[in-house]
Amino acid sequence: MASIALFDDNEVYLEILQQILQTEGHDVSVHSSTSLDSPGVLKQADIFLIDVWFGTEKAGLSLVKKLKQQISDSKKIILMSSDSDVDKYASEVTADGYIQKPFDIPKLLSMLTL
Amino acid sequence: MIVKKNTSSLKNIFEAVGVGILCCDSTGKVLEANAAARQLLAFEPKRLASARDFFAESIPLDEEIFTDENAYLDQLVASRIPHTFYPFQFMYHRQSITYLVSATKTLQSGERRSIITFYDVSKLYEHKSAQELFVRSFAHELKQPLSLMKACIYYLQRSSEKKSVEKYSNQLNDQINLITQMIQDIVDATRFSLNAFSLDKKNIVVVPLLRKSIDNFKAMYPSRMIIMHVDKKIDETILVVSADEARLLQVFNNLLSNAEKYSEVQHQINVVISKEADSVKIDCIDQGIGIPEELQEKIFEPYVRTRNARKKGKGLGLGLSLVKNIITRHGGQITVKSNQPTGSIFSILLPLSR
Repeated sequence: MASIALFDDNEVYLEILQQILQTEGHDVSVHSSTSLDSPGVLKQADIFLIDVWFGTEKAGLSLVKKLKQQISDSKKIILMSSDSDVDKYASEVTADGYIQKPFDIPKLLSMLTL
Repeated sequence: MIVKKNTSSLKNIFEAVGVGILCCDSTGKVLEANAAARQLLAFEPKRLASARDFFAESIPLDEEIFTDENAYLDQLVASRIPHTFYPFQFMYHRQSITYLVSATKTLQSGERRSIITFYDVSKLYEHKSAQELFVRSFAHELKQPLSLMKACIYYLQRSSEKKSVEKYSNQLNDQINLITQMIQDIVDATRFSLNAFSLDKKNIVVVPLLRKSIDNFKAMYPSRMIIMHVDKKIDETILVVSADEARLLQVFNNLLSNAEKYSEVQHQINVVISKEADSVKIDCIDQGIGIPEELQEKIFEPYVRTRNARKKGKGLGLGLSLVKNIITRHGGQITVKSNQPTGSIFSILLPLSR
């Protein structure tokens, strides 16, 4: 089971994803802003699941760039977005994977296996 | 005589027509330009040497055919017969102007000539860009509730815990309502932008209509405290406005629903009615997340939402622009300011019927 850090600006969505992933046995922290004010998250999480859009900005992409400098290569970064260009964003920031919203939960779960 | 008269009449038409026309020789040198062309291309008479001057500063929007500027006429005229049409973008005084350019090849006394016409389609292009933006943002916003619904369904299929089932069934219902509202907002916004709706105005006493809206609202949200205050010094029955009842209800419902969405359930919502000069004033006061001062004017523009509103993940950001549209069409005004210590006060002024 993995330790997952979820970043999305929709708090309702964060809550239900957290509940689902916890039921699957994952350890989950949720973040509705892109600030990295809890450094513990960086150490603990194995997988970062990050939405591209925060407000009207693609702040999720800047977050990935920042994370890349601070975490080891063994950790996974997965981008998610309603935007159909999510594949391009993922290759732009060299994320380890991407998933387009709305997605089926089993598809997400299969991506979260370490 | 007739030929002369016709020539003079054709010259008048050439000069007067709203479409810009340039007549060039085979090298691109401008032989003649009508008034619209001179104005559209902002050519100084001295600069009217070559149409190349214009194309050199323009960006073809659709194709890369003009990468070799020197060959532009050959490509524009010779390759396509009888017409070519290209949208061009041209920066003039820091403003982007888009032309639809058409070129025709002619032979005049055995010499190759080209007639180039320009039509300013900037407005059309602005509209097209706005439409594209709208479709993209609608698709994006629609996927948010759909994502949530997928997650709810997944959870509901696996959970038998009564409390969670109830919570996520309600959430599913909320998301369906949200999508329905988005669709209705879009239909309304389109109607408003096309001016394709008429107001069925009647004399309406404001207080009972507002009371009706509040009662409907209380039925939907029984645990929410919502209180209406009417200035006791005034006689309610004189607060009459000439308005479309359904549209006015839409305004009240929209403001109440925003107050509900963006504040905690324990926070009271107050609606205050007073008379101000020849208008009735309605204040809708909440203690919610508030609107930053720099956004308080912009919030009435379509698709504008605060960062906090986005976090709540509700709506397209069309509701308040519709509200403003309706109020303006009734000759009224709507403004917003911050409530203290938190929240917003939306104030509507509607002219009283005489």
